[in-house]
Amino acid sequence: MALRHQDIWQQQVLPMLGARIRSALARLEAGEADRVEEIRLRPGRPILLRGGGQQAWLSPQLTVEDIRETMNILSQYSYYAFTEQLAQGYITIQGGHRVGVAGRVAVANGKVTAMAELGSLNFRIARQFPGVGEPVLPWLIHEGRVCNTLILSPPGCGKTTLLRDLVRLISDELGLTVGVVDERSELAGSYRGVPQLDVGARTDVLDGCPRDQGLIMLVRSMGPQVVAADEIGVEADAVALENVLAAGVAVLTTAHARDLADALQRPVLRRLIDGGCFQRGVILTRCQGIPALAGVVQLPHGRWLYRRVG
Amino acid sequence: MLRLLAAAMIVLSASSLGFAMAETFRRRPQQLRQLQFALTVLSGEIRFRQTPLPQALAAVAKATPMPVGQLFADLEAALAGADGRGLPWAWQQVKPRGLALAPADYALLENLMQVLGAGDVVQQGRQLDLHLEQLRHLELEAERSRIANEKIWRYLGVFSGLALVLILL
Repeated sequence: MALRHQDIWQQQVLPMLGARIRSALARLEAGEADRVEEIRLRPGRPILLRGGGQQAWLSPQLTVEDIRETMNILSQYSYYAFTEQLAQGYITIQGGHRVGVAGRVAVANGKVTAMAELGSLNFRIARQFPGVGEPVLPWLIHEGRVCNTLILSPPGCGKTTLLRDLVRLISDELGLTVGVVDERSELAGSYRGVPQLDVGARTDVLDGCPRDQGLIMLVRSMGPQVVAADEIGVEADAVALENVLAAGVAVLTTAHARDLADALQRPVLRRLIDGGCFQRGVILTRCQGIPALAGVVQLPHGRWLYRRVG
Repeated sequence: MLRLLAAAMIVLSASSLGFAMAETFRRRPQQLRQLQFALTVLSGEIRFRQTPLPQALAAVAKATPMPVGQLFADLEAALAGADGRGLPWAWQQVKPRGLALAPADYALLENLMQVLGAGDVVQQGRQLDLHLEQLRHLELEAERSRIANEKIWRYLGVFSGLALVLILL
């Protein structure tokens, strides 16, 4: 399942780019290409590559036509098939890579309805880090059951990466049936309904499904023992989670927050935490720029089970 | 004897020319009906399944009788090699084979290629409905012209052959 980074680059990233961009990137040496995490394409600017905390400009200067060609390939010449995704600001491509889109947006009734004109594109190359969940998982199991777990972290600290690996471990190592609601195609990186990232052999994914509806659909239809969803935060999520818990299914989810105190500032999270919905909280942080585990707490009272020193 | 054979040859070739002309008048409305069928399939793929064009075109090619189906198979192949240059470009690469369509019919298809894939599902549905309606008009016109011309060309072929024989005799 896991492809080497070079194969990902050759088979999944390069074919999705317009001809001029592709030939510029094909000239990179393998060692350089391996380090690329982001490719940023903006009209009137050269290609910008980012990775490993560094960035580099690469000629040629891009034109609107280059961006349009790339978008044609990405959307398979079929805007109608990607309207919803584009209104959210991204397209997921084969391999689970996400292409962020900016430009002139069309709005109706205060909601973004379409990406009316293309501006810039940002390819984010999905990488899996199998094993990041291994040190965490033992803390989440109590009396042979997977605890209801809330992963808290600021953006970019590996929340989704950790959740994905926990799902994979619970599915493959613990042998439980897992249901994933992947509203933004981030967790499983599904392409045409098939997960592109390894989420385990006993995992079912509802791709592109609104979280609240998806959680209830999964419990009704797929009989999961554990369900996972990314980034809860609104009232509808809380209602759905309470329903899932009432069905006796364990829940893994994440939320944007620096720490437990920060999470308790938010009414929906506070209600869920104080209401005893979760038994474990996993807190992530950045340590010298690298995502790291800050600790695991017992919920609702917040006693540290494990805390990173330093 | 040789004369008789030559006369028969002349009549035969002139009438086959006439029949061939009549045949194009007969096949055009039939192919326009097949085109309408093709666009209906395409419309279903786009409206209800939101299938991206490469797969949608393949489905149309499979469902539509030849040679109209081939047009969509060729378009799909051209699109696969378009490298981002878009559907209008891919359409220009398609060389229609074995079709009896008129320039007006191709102009309508060309027009469709400018808008296909470039809007949301609702817009695409409306565009396809519009083009379907225009195809119906073209079909009616083609049917009228078939009724007017099919027999004329057949008779014209046979009789001009006979006339030529008479002159040469």
